[in-house]
Amino acid sequence: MSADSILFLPPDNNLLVEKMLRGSPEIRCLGIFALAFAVRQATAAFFSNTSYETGVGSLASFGMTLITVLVIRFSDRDFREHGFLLPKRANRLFGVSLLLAFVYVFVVIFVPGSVSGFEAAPGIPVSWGLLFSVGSTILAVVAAEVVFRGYVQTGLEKALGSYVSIALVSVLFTLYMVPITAYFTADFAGVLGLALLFLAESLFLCFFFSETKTLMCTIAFAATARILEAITPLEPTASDYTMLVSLMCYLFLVPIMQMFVAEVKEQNARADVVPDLDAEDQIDIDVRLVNRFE
Amino acid sequence: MSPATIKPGWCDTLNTKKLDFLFLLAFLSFFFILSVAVPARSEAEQKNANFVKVSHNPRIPAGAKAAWTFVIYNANCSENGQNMARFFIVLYTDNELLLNEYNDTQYKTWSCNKTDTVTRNYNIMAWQDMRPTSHDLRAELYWTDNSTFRLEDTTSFTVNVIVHIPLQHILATGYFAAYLIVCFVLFYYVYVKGLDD
Repeated sequence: MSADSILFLPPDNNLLVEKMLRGSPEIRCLGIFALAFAVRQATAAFFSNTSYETGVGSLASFGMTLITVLVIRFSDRDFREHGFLLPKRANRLFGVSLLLAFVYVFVVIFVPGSVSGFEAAPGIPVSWGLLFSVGSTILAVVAAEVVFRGYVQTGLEKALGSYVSIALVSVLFTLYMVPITAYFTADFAGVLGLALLFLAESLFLCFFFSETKTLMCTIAFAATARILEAITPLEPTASDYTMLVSLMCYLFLVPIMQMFVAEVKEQNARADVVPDLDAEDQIDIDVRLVNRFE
Repeated sequence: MSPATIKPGWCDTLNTKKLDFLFLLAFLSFFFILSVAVPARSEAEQKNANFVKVSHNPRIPAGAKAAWTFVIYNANCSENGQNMARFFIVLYTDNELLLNEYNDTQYKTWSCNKTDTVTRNYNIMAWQDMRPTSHDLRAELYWTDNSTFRLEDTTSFTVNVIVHIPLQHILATGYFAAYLIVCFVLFYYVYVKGLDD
């Protein structure tokens, strides 16, 4: 009996560990994640609540995007596979992303708020500071999407399959988004709720990317949702079910998103079919042509 | 999505030279941003004492007390050959004096060893605003250098006073209507108008 059959290993020895040891795409994915995670944790630990927080965060996001794009450039060289493409009817898919983001923010703010009331803050005046914050949010979203959806998900999908990679990427994304130091604060339940929210967000974004294969949609959704949440001066008064509504909203957004994307795909498929004349039409034309020439 | 439903993206039309030029441009802009950020940090490092960290809740409910935490670093301040110096903080809200630690407290000043940090907590103010407002806060760090007050560092931030409102409030109703209209327009575009594309 061979060692492989004792350990219940697949006969082709196509093991993830083996691939990782050889420096395969999977190990590059984990390497990119480790780098992004280290940068994120260091930024949170040393610059949180300082005047450099936004600037350093933007710089880190920009750097991570650049590094990931460079890794793609010098390893796979296939940008399209990693989601850097504009699909057919991109404007409509962009509209779907915006619609889903608006629906999400609307539900998250107004469903719990209609029961428990709202906490109203003053509106944010249009200023350079606001533009800088919006730019910083977009950079952070682009970095997260390029790293997690564009690189890690695409890389792991080949080795582990669609659903396992989506689950794994979502766990990694949650680890990335919540600083480790936050788990040691007094409000552990709140931090755990935040982690669950990031997990649900990542699951939705992974499904979205899996359906559309373009980073345009996930970036548009995530950036719009975060900017809307930041600039809307209304928040539902905290209650037991505020977090639950957010989680349920992501759950319900998945089939809605799939419905819209399926509609676009169907439309594309219809457009790709070359119109063909049937036999009777062909005969009519031929007869008309003959009469004309006669 | 099948390849037939995908049209070439911008990156597909770029050759290697153009891509490398774009990367070079991105690298240069990265270092440009870095160079803009670095002088600001070196300015802070040249001070004798400065605010290292300011922790505060940017959203304070009307009537509730606000807590501010300052972490101060003493880089080079010392008095009478000792390895420590005494400091106090002055707080302003909307350019009006809120607290002068030297005049308004019994302890007047507090000490911080050279090349050491001190964390100071303040829990003093409650705004009784009836509508959402924002206030600019400024904190000044003074060193009592042998009874001569020297301004070492200044930091400022904004706090928002939040109020509780029901759904019937005009502010909530306005945003509710705006979100509904945008959702309707987008739905019309992607589902009804989009079918005719």
